[in-house]
Amino acid sequence: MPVRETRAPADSAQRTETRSGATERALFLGHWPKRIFCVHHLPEVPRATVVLCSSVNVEFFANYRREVDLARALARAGMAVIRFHYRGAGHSDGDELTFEGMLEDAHTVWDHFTGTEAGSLRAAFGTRFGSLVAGSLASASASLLAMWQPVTDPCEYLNQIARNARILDLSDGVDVRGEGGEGGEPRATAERMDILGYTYDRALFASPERRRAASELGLGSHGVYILELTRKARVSRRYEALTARLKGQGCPVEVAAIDGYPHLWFLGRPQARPDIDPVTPTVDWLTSQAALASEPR
Amino acid sequence: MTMEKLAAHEEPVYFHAHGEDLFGVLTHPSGEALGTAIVLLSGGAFVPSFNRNRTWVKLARKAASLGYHSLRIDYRGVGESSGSVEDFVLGEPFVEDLSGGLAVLGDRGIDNIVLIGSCFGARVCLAAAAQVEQLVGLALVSSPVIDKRIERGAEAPFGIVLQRVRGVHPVRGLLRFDRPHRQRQARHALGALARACVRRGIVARGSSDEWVSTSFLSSLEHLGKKRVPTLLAYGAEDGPFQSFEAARAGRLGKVLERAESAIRIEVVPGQLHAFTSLAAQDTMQVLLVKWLSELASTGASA
Repeated sequence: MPVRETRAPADSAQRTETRSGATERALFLGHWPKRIFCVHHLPEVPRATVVLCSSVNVEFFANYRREVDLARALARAGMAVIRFHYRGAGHSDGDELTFEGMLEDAHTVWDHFTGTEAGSLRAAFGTRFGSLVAGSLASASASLLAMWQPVTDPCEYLNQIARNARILDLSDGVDVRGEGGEGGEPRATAERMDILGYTYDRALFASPERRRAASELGLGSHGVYILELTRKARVSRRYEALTARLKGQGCPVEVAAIDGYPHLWFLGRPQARPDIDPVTPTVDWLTSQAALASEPR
Repeated sequence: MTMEKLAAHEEPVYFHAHGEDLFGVLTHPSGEALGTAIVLLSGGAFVPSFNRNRTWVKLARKAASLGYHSLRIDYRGVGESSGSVEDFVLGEPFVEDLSGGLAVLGDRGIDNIVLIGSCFGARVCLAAAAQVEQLVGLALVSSPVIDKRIERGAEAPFGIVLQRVRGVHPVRGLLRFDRPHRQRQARHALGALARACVRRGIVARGSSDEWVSTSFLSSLEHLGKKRVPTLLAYGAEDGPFQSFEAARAGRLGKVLERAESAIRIEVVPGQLHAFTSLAAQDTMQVLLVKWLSELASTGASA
């Protein structure tokens, strides 16, 4: 059972949620130049620990408050939650985002906050590209894995983002043949792209390591939850295929599709579309898993 | 200079304002301390305090190397702060949020203040400026000059009519106004609509500048009188720059004239608003770091 801290140590700040009594402690983990900004949401009696792995760049920015809302809802439901910013993102140190760095940061955070809590239920959560990081955590520790529209093909994901940017450029009358990359390549093939004020480095998405992480997504997890936003009211083929593969490996999987704008992760903000609520079903699934885990066997 | 070379100490803080727990990150100087703190405020589109592509983080760490403290703040309902916010109304800036942040700095004995805000954040800084006793400088990036509240029948230029039309949800959904080319297209397309509005008496044709925010004008007037170094920075293609230019033809122009060198206007090519490109972010960094360096050498030191 996690130990509840009553006072924020130096270089951290703490507040208490009036509705639930859960505390939120913001801190920098580690030392310069590798400080990782974290927020630890701690209910009075935690019955599980969830580590949230965000997506990157514009999706990290657009989904920020949605993930804060998720963490607070989970804490109200009795789960400790850790959110963090990868090095090279948000308030953390560093000025370059790499997949290896993202994995290292996630494992550092996981070990720091869950290492002393052997026996309690643990779960990793990932949004979009962050699902690959969460998948790594879950498979390494045989934990639960919950994901919002996980990326199953990093190359396709990058192309999709590049396509969106290209459409924006075309609609603005920009000559995309010479505007995309540093060397003047079209956007879709440039090694480095400026998309809505973020650097999209092809190396971050399109390496064999990323493909491998995607192909192994969910394997070794104790149970998997996938939430997809769709306008078709049914789960897409890619997640049907992922589900079949995981079930074939004996992993329990639950897939849910909620009606919503599929590019919400890329462009949306929770306040902009309050009718699209991915938080409630995710909290419900994790809560039910925690209840199952606490039942006597 | 990369961030790796800037070993600024950073500290998360929570503080109480407007009935909520607001969050901020306080950056301490990595160079010799000036005894002056910068408060960084983002725009009003639910932008967390690190800002797009961590623009404020980079600026805070560069400012630390110049000797400044800085505090970047999440507004109520944004980022790590508690509460919720339905909308950001330019005429109702979140002065309380900024005051809460200033109290944090005051508790630490830092009373010399520089305010830097972008878009809605610029209006918050401007609205609070008169309350800051030891205001060393103020930088407003892409600051709107209107409150977006125009009474029926008031005199307004076409640009303001367009801004009214932009507020209509179905039109906003059909046309993207956040890109310069689309803004130009929209201006042509909606010109006819604006003229129709004038014909029907929804707005009246004229050159009066009653549509300019009175609080914007009075705050700038106050800063000019107090000789507070003020930087107004715009991208030439920023939406707010068009109304700023229109306003200069009226009372705003006289306010700027009276302020003489205390208020500096910098207009850079392209778009600065919301920092939606890496080029805009770089331009803004260069502009603000240069201005902060000048401020440090002339008057920011305690």
